[in-house]
Amino acid sequence: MILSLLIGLPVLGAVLAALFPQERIAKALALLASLTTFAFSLTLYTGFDPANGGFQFQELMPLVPRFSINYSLGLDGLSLWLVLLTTFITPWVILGSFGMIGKNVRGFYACLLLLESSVIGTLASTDIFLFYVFWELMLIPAFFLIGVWGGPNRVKGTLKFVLFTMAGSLLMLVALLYVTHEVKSFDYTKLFDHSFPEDVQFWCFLAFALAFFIKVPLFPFHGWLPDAYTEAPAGGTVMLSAILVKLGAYGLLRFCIPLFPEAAKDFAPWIMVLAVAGVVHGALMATLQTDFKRMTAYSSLSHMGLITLGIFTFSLTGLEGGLVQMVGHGVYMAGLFLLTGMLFQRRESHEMDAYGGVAKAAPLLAAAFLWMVLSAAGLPGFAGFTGEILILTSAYKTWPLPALVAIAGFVLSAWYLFNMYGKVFFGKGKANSEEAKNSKKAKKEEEPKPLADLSWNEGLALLPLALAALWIGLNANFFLAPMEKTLEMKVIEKLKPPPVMMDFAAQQRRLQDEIESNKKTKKAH
Amino acid sequence: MGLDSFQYKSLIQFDWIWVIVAAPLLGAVVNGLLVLFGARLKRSFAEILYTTVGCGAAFLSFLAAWFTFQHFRTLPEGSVLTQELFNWIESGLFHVNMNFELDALSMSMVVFITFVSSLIHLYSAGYMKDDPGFGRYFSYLNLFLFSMLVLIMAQNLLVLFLGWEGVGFCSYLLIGFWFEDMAKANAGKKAIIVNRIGDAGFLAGLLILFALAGTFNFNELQLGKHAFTELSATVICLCFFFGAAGKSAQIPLYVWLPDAMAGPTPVSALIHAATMVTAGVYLVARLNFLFVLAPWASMTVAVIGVLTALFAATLALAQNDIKKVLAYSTISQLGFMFLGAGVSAYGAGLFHLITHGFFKACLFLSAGSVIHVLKGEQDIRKMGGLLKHIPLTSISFFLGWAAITGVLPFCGGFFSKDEILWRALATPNPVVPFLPEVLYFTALFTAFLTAFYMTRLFVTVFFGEYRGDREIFEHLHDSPLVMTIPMLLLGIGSLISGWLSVPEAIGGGNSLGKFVDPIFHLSTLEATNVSSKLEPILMLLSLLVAALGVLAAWYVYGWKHTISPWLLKLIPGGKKAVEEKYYVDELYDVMVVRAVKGFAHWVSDRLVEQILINRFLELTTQGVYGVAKLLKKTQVGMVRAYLAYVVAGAALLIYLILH
Repeated sequence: MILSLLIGLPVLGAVLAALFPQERIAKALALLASLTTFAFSLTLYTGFDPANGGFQFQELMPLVPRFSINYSLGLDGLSLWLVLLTTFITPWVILGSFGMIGKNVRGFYACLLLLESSVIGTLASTDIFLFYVFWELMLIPAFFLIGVWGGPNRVKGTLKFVLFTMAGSLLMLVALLYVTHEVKSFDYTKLFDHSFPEDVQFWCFLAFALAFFIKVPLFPFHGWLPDAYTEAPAGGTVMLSAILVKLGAYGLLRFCIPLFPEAAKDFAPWIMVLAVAGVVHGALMATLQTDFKRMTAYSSLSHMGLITLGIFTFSLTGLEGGLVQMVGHGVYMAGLFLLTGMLFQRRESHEMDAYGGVAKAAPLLAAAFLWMVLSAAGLPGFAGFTGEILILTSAYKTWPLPALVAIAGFVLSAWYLFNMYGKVFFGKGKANSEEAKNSKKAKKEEEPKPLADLSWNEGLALLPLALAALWIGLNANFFLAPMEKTLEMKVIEKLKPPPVMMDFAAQQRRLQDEIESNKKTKKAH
Repeated sequence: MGLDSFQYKSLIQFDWIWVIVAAPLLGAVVNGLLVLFGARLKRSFAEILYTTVGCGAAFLSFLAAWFTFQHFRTLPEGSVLTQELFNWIESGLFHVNMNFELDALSMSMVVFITFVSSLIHLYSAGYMKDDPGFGRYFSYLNLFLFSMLVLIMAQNLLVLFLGWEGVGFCSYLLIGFWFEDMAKANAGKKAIIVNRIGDAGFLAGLLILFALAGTFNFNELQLGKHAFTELSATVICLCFFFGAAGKSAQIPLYVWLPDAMAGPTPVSALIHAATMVTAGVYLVARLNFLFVLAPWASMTVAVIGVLTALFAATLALAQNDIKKVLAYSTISQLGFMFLGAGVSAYGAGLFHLITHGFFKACLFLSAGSVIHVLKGEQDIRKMGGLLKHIPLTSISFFLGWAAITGVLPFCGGFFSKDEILWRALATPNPVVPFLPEVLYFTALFTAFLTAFYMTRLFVTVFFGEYRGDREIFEHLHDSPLVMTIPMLLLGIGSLISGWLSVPEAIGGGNSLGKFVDPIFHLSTLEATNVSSKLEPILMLLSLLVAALGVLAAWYVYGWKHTISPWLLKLIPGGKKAVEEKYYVDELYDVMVVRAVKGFAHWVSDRLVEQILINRFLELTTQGVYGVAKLLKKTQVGMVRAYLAYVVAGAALLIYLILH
């Protein structure tokens, strides 16, 4: 019942938050609901058996018996960390955005909670019909989050986001109906055990993958990302970048690869190329931005490319690297976007040039931002590095060239992140433009009004994220161990024999053996 | 090389190694928290607290290192102290532990680093006394010490990389310590980005190495070195050397170090002279078993080293900023160390690393003291005649000067530099036979230049007439004892550090060389190029060359009282070119910064983002609208039209069925 509880609690919280007329009580209720959800979700970790690669915490209830559609839930090593990531991030998003929302405050928190609920539902469904329902449900709160509480161009952002996602999902629906018709069941495990003929695999892989590629997003399907991320309110951007996009990668791991392994193998080189193109393209675009939220959005794109690269190496290290990078990326992106929101709240601008000298005025804010920048820049010991090194080493083993090109993302990330950090936080403080215009008093003052440092709720929201970023960086095994069995059973096993693109190490060894044998024959002569 | 490289190595568990790194980490955390949350503390009380925690952490670390060293000395030759902390990353075949290891190489580095850094922490307490960021400074400095020690004591390349990136980050923080000055903040940014470019090489090296050997552990790599062919070893070594060139400011990635002088002077002494910048040399020495497999890579190291030494020495001739002269001198001396490592004289490289650490830290601290007493003046044209007024600073600067020029035969840099010169000439090069001679004479000429520019600096600052602000001159008095004592200790250190390893050719004990020999002896090529009887004669020659440099500079600057870079006027256009630093910054701006930005702008933004993606989206939406418009026209609202559709449809259906 724990999974249903995790899906239900946020809904309950959302309803309560929407019903209470006082905003302060609504906020408190939303926070309480998400914290309770997080507390309950911890039992998932304690109760999880890492040696079991199958579904755990299973629940089953017939929904539409005629079509054998069931309300069936379960959790395995693939979804465990993503569920925990969701329940972990949501309370801090709610807490961190206490001061950020100006209108319809109750609705905002209700939407956040509904989003949390639908994400957990998507991750926990073991019935593919149920999965699709939750998958589409996610879109509704996300739509409102961007469309109602977003920035000045929010309509454009919302439209792009919804249309892109819908286009992908519809194709997936077609393929989904086709495969379930073939197997005569919506049960994931039945689909998993079925092996489809190659041509079916080809088309179904494409249809499923397109939906997930748009979600991730994989280059060049990222058209929605910059606008949606930039226009959404900080809390919404965090939910999008930290959690929602991970479901794309999750879908690839859960459906595309295990159900259509042959097609996945055929497409892998192309996808690896696109993933690396995304890494480099996102990083290059990030260097051009003058708006730091947009820059962070492109850097998120760059890092998501790395995750896709890791997944399509089809090696245990690469897959685990991809998954751990998903968690890490979720944590530091949540931190970065919350912080951009906090800066915006203080000065109503996302332009780097509007800031300067913030480190002097708000040292805590600056320290927290630097912490997240370090994680994003992949400093060893922080969240970004663990996944990165795992992904790159295994990618290099499968196919050296893309991995070497992906290093450009590592170099450029320092470039754009530290450039941005310097512009915003270093130098002399600048006048608060809004206030300078509005009040005569500000004009008289020679010293610009300094930005306020972190308030208690902002600090409390950032602290767990900062600690988590360090925890992932230093204790990767904590995260890697529970996922290993599932990945082996559900992904690697299905892909046997693994595709040999260019096993560099084996090639080297062969060369070496040849040289050795040549030497021996020469000696013999 | 019939000897198995591993038979003389024995790993010994030692459970106190963690203290060496934990002390500075704790210091950094405590001071950092105090800075962030202790705003209400009284300034005078907070200052005492910061100093105690910061310096205490460094001293504790030194003490722990010293006791570990004493323990280490009791062990048989070739022992390795090790401590396992925890399992860091484990995924399939990827297995990395957070382990520390101390062998003779890292042991000598750790003792040296903690010693120098304790003194510099102490000095900082005086130098930074009135700075509002006092606590922040100590927090950063401790964090740096922690990262540096992790780098040195790492048991595998990934832990080393943790320290490697950590020191780079601390250097970013400390260069841009006075971040309200945008120029200084940008110098920090430049340092971290140039270092990242080098780290691309490091990371590529890691990937290739791991694909071939399947491990990052130094011992296992050394055991499994047969996994590498000459080609793969060369590629890996060049990758790592590119990373080393970034950290150790070698051609082509040296450009950040002169700018790094924007940081507080003790930072320049500790990070940008004595410790961090030598990490590249340490990396090459650590990977000696790989470099010996790759003669081409080793040759590249030697050639880049000697070229950097020469290049930076010419630049040092014309600088007028006291710290910039020392910065270019550091680049030049690092070139010497790489020359040593490149000709497989790793022991000599390490020896020079340590002596240089002492004398350059001493020089920087003395320069800092000069800047301190002159209230921030750094231009040597506005100094002069300071000898009598700040005697202690003068003495320590003199000691550093004597050590770097190598003009007093038995102190500091003389033996270490000479060892490198000797080995550069004596080690035969398997690839280019005449290379040893070229290396030797280039290095010898650089030694001449070194003596020249250092004497210029010494004379213009401490002799002649004072040329600066009179008002400051009237109140001139030497720095407080908390600064002068560390300076003088380092001065004495630079004097006697030469005795660590007096060459056997003149009857010395070569003790440091013997101490680290177990690590290097399989990788060291035999010095067979010239007869070893030549060594004392060559030693005399380099003494002569150094004396010549000193005398020439004395003649020009001490006797004739010029302050302009006289030597460069002999070459047409030379002065201008050197003053503009050979236009390298401008070149990189065009070649790297603008190239990347241009590519990002035209290809990523214009072509991909705007044309391929956005235009495609626009066309799709327009297409949808177009189809909708066409369909709209069918809805005419007349019954006969709809009837016609029905008939036509039915006809089509019947045709299809019948067909």
